[in-house]
Amino acid sequence: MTQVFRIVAVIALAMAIAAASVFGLRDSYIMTPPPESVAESMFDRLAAKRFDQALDVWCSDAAQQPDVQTLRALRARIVDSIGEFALTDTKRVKMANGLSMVTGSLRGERGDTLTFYLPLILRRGQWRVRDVEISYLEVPVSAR
Amino acid sequence: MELHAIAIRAACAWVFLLFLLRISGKEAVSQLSGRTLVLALIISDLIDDFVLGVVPAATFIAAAGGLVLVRSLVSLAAVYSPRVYALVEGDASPLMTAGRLHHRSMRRERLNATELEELLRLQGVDRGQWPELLMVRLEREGRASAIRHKWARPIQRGDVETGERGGS
Repeated sequence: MTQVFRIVAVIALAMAIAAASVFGLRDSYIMTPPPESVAESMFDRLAAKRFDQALDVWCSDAAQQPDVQTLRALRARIVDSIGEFALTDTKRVKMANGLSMVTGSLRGERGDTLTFYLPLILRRGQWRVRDVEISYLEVPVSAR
Repeated sequence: MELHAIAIRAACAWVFLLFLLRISGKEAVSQLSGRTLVLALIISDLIDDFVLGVVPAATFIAAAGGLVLVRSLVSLAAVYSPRVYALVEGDASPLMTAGRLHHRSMRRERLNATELEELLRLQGVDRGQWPELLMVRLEREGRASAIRHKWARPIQRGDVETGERGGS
């Protein structure tokens, strides 16, 4: 039984270290997924039509909190432009004071790519997508 | 994604798992029992999500820690209850008794005569020595154990002193 208590103690200690790192030392990309990883999750879920799961990475107190329909419409816009898509790469443009901007590309089945810019905000130790309207799509000429 | 962040996450995961496994009992690392194998499979899938920054540290700690905790509770229950032990680890299967093969057990364990021959060779018993075997069982961790007839066992000093030898 002592062994079980020891395991619980190690889990609690590890949780405390992770929490101290995120909330005390303001770590925003080691103990917590970095913003580009959150952006990847969002577009991967969008590509897979997992709208409910895609909503999880959105900031809950955003000015324009999207719903499933908003994300469905966002996906439809992307598919209209380049067809079914997959994420190819993401890059962090900047990260400071709890705000970050990620850019990346989506490659469509027709070979066209879209570039996106996604602003994120740090909320309760995790990066969250901030606003659906600020994230916009640059449609390449070939896809217009 | 920064390489140093990946290295730090990998190191943190290694330290955390090492501590967890060290305190969860020697059995967790000394033999690959069914429950340890399942634990290893799931944790090996969890760890890459954390190292590559897909999930937060807290998610990884809760998932891996929870699994190790459940495994320890099951192991603890298995120590006190042979029924729980049999449930999580299964029973040893008899494969041969007095030189006669148990084909039903062998089918259940997906084992043919050639594979049994190989398992017994690893125990130092070749096909010609099968008549010397009283019982062969496939133990829970997948190894064969063989017990020889008394008359076929290597002679011991005690046999000479007590004169107990011969017959099966």
